[in-house]
Amino acid sequence: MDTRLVVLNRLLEALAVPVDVTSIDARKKMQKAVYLAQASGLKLGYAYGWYLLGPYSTGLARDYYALASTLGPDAPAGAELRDDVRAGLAPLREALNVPQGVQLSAPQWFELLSSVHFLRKVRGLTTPDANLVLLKEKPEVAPFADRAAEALGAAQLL
Amino acid sequence: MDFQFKRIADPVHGTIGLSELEVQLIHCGAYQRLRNIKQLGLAHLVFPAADYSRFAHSIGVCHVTGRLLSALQRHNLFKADEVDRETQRYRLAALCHDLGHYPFSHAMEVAVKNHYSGGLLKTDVKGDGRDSLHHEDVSELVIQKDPEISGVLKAGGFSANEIAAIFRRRDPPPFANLISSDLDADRIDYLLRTAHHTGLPYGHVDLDYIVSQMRLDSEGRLAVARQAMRSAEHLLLCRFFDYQQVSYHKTVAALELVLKDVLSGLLDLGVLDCSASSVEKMIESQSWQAFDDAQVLAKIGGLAAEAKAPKELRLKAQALLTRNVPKLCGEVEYFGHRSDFAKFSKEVESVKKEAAKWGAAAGLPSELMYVWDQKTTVTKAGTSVPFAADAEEEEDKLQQAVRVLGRDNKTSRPIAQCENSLMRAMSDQVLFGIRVYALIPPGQTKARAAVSQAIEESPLRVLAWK
Repeated sequence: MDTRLVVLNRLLEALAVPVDVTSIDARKKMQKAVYLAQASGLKLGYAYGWYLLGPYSTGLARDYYALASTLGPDAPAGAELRDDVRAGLAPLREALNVPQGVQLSAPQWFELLSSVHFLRKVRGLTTPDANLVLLKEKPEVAPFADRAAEALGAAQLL
Repeated sequence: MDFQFKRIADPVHGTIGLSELEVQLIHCGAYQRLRNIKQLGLAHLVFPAADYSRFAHSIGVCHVTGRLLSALQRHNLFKADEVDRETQRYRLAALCHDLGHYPFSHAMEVAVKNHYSGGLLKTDVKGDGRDSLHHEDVSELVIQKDPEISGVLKAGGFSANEIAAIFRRRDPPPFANLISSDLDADRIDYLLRTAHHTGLPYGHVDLDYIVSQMRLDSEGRLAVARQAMRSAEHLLLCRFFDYQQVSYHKTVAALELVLKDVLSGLLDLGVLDCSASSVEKMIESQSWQAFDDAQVLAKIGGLAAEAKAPKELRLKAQALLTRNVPKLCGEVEYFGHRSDFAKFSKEVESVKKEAAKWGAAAGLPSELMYVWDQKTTVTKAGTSVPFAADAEEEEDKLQQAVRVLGRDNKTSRPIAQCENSLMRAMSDQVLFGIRVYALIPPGQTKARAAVSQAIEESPLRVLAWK
């Protein structure tokens, strides 16, 4: 297995995000989790743009399809993530849990977290401006934007 | 703005006009470097004249972009006071889109990606814990950090960010599809130029007609007029045949496999350093300007002559220099459906596992056995994908799909959704292919037949081998 696929596999494993390409929600979780892992400082080399569901990388899509097709009972185990890298991902793993009182599914929560981060840190929008974009483009998740900002702050991503 | 400030003679497009700013840009050392990066990698070892450079191609892409913009401006693409600046911005993006290609382009990029894993793994012994850059990242770094190029752009009133946003499709500007899509200036120039230099007929795209029939739909998206749908389909088919006959030609593909291995070996031995930090330093110090095919070829020559180098690696380096092409021992090729991707990938994995045994049967080490595969579609998006745009990957593909204007001249649809398009019938079809090659050392003349026989006798029956 290519090294970059081994890294992706181990990263998703550390974030408790399954390698699953069979549904839109499953793919969305991988897209957003990897985006946030990169935002936390890991150099994974995926270029992200803004799409209908928030940050999205075509390069990552190619890689998770390749990864899914090579995983199986006799797939090579590959290498492990370094301990400090795993430890550094712990706050993000925590942030990916849907908080109490937030009536969103996990994929929606992932979308909201990554979208808030993208709008604030990549586009450089102020909180009110970012919230306006969310209200316009993602009205179903926008009401929880403050909770997402709070979770990103706790993970030192914002 | 005068886009005819200087004129260049080009065998594909005739006379190409350039603005003063464009001339200043291409005079920069990091731009001249593209003269020494071959567009088609090792294809010239099969098609002797197919050795044109990324320099010629990039100027061609700039020219085609300019033609498309001029045609669209008839439909008020830009506001009157923005026409010159926006035209220049898109043309600059076209000129700069390939600046970051490594020597030997894609072969090197694959080797680099696999070598540097960012130091995230416990067993990350290769790459010294460093990460690497995609060539588009490097293109952006060059226009940001090469002292000459960044200075020229700045003096011309352009930021690296606004140029890179187009070719990186980062928050894609409205007409980024001119540079990067199923029907873009990059592909058009590539097809025309490759046909010219290979002598193959698969790139005779009706550029004049396509340019004249480019439109904007009511949502501001690029589309071709209905009457140009066949020309657009012809371009997509040309691309399909070009890939099969040039890039995936059995000999070109075999040599590229060996090249990737040799480049990986040079990275492992520390002869090459393409980590992100090193590339950035090379760009800043301008040593990037000399990092081209010739420099790497000299290192391959050194490896071939180095007695201490691993035996198989040295053999591969020698194979590249002497054009000792790996022999095709088995091949499977069939059309299937997009939904067969996962099944096919498993077949490839099975073949990879068996290949070492087939080599062993002929006395060849596993390092000399190669498995190549392809899954080629005619269009990026198929007809059976969810067009509700709730899947981002389909959204991405659809954003780059060729669109055809409707009868109302306002709305448009992806070409694969037009009832009367050939692409509708073909876009879910995939050409799957697997090839097994063996690099035969000098003197082992019977090895090829032995590998082929081992494949024939193998219990693995993916499909009937050719």
